[in-house]
Amino acid sequence: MVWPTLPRICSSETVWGNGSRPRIQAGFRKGLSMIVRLKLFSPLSDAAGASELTLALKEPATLQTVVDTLIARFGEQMKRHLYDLDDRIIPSWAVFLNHEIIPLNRPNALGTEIVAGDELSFILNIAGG
Amino acid sequence: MAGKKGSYAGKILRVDLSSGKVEKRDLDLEFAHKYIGGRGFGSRVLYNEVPPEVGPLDPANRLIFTPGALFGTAVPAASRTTATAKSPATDMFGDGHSSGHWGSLLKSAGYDQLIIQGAAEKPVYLWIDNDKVEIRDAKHLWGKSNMETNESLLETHGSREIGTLSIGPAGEKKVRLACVFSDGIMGTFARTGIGAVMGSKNLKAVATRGTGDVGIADIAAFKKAYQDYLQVISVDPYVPPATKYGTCRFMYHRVKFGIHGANNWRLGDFDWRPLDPEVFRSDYQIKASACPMCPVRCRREYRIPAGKYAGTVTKLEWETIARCMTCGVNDPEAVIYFSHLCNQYGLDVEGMGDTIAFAMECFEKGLISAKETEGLNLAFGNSDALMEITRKIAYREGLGDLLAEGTLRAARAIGKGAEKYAMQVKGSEMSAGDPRGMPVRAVSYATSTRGSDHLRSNPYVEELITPDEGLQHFGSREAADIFQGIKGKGKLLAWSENFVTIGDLLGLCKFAYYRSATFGYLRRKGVELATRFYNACNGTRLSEEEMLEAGERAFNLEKAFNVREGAGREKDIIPERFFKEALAGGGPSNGAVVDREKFDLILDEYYGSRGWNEKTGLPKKETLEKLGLADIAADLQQRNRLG
Repeated sequence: MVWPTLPRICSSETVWGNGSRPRIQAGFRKGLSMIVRLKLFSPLSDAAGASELTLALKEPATLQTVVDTLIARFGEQMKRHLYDLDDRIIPSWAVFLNHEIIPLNRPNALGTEIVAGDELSFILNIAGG
Repeated sequence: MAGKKGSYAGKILRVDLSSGKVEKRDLDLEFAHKYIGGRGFGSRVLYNEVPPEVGPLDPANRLIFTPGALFGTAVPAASRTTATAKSPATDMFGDGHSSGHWGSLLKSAGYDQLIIQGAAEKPVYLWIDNDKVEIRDAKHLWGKSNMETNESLLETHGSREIGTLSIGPAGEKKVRLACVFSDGIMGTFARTGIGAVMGSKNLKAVATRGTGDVGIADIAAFKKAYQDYLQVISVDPYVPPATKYGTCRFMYHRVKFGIHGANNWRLGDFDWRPLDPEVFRSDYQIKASACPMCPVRCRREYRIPAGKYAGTVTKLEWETIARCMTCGVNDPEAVIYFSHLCNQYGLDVEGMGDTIAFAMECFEKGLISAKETEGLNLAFGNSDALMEITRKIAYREGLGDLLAEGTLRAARAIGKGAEKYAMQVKGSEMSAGDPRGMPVRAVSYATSTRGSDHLRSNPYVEELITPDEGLQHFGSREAADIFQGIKGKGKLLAWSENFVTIGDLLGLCKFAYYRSATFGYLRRKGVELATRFYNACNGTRLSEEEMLEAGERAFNLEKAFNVREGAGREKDIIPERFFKEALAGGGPSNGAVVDREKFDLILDEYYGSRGWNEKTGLPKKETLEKLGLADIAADLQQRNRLG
């Protein structure tokens, strides 16, 4: 198998392979840092070596920022779990943002605004059995 | 055409237990390439040989075992065999699917299918040793558990290189929730009461030794397909949690969506933490293993180290955990022990969990008295009661005799409105997660040809497609909207039913081929690679569309069987509770119901997509003819059962 060239680990404003662009919400305060808490399920927890994390992000931030930061911190293994071979976000991840469900197959899901103190859980949204 | 070729062994074996006659005939390869194998062979034979006047426990019912077409080859995760019969649970089409070694040994002995008819006068077992087929006395096996039966047969035949099928005491007692087990408790032909059919024939077991082989026509194409399969699963994030936790993994999804269906499908949220997959993994797991040829390795065995169930060792799947929650039980050791009892007695954990939960709710509401339970406190969460009523059902003792009939029959016997607490579809108890708030899943439980079933389709496709893929493949971007979407859902469901049927034709595991994190990976494994494996093994040139059509053909065969039995649209329905009672107990889905209007709209689109009449749910003549089932269309026309 020929592995695709990896896109560089990028900021929230980078255009990804599928042309999707993070939707930056109005009203952000630029440049300030904030803390969000993450809960990860397998296989993301395996790639991160932990099931709970605290991330420091710069504002403004979106779900795309969180994904980018995870990949920047944990590398190729994390990216492989979040993006498919065509560099598209894997749509069956669901993010529970303070218990609100955001399936990543929803249009513009990655543009969802993240604010200080948010709690996010990443879980594969496949009932399967 | 006749004879051995590719992945087929070349012969069909038929045993009449009434007359003792054994018949072998050549496999017709035209038939083989049309119906492929497994569920396809089984459903065709059942339609041909079991008309409506034959009851499920009559000697004239057939018990048909058919390994998948690729079982016995080196195709990864090709380890499934189908057992087909008219179901004692539904009085309609019934089948169960199991892994294990037995199916490959049947093919190594030279047979692609075993058809059993008639009934023996006394307990017997069948010994198949390549060409030699004998009906033997099973007096010494009667009453034994599945593990004991397997061990005894291994000893009798002096080899651990045999495969076995067996029933436990529940099958002997014709409990309508009984299963057939493969190789001890390695695999289970669960659902639809197939074990009761075997018991009705006085057939305790089938032991098989085979030393032959099946072939691969194109080794290079086979190797390439194998490499491509391994590449897909190496990047699919669906796989690592399965390898890490086994099927216990599904707990996290249920928790996040709040769809446990605890306490007889009333509570979306539940105190699940004692049943965390990490608990099973760290405190009880003794073995992670694989079904034959499977690289995913999601089988798990657990051991209870101490306490009142100390020393219990058994396999356990997610559905056991789920159904214990249906009974309000969240003690992991009780869950493991319940699995152990069901495995030894030969009972379907899904049907058992729902049937006992039904009895618990009837007890709660005063429809079953303490006198009827003989003092057993049948309260939700009482794990001691769970074990005792399981034993009573297996041996048909006291209240257990009534519950051994399954929820629907038991409810009708109890009367007093008990039927609304019987959580079943077509007479088969519910499985998997609560469908409230997820309309296409609700419809998929209703349209399954063997009663409520999450393995009959893959409606979860809606969870992994993008809106663009929804538009491209199912005609609407709404198909990707889990909660609100309607358009495209019926088409998605019909496609997913045809899609997963391919696995049952070829003997491929659903988890290894028919679940994935992306639609691209899913179709690559389930259609493209499945078809390439079949062609590589058999030297054929079946297209992916033809393989999907083979799935559609088998599904229509089963539908036609049910239609001939009298079932129409009115049977494609879920329990009223899901429409009328909001999911309770808190959690993300608290307050959800299945919207009846959405349910009906999706069902309409589904029938239209299938080429069935939207009002009656009956197949149209042209649909059956298009699928090469003109003889069945003619049969249904004669009975005035076409749409």
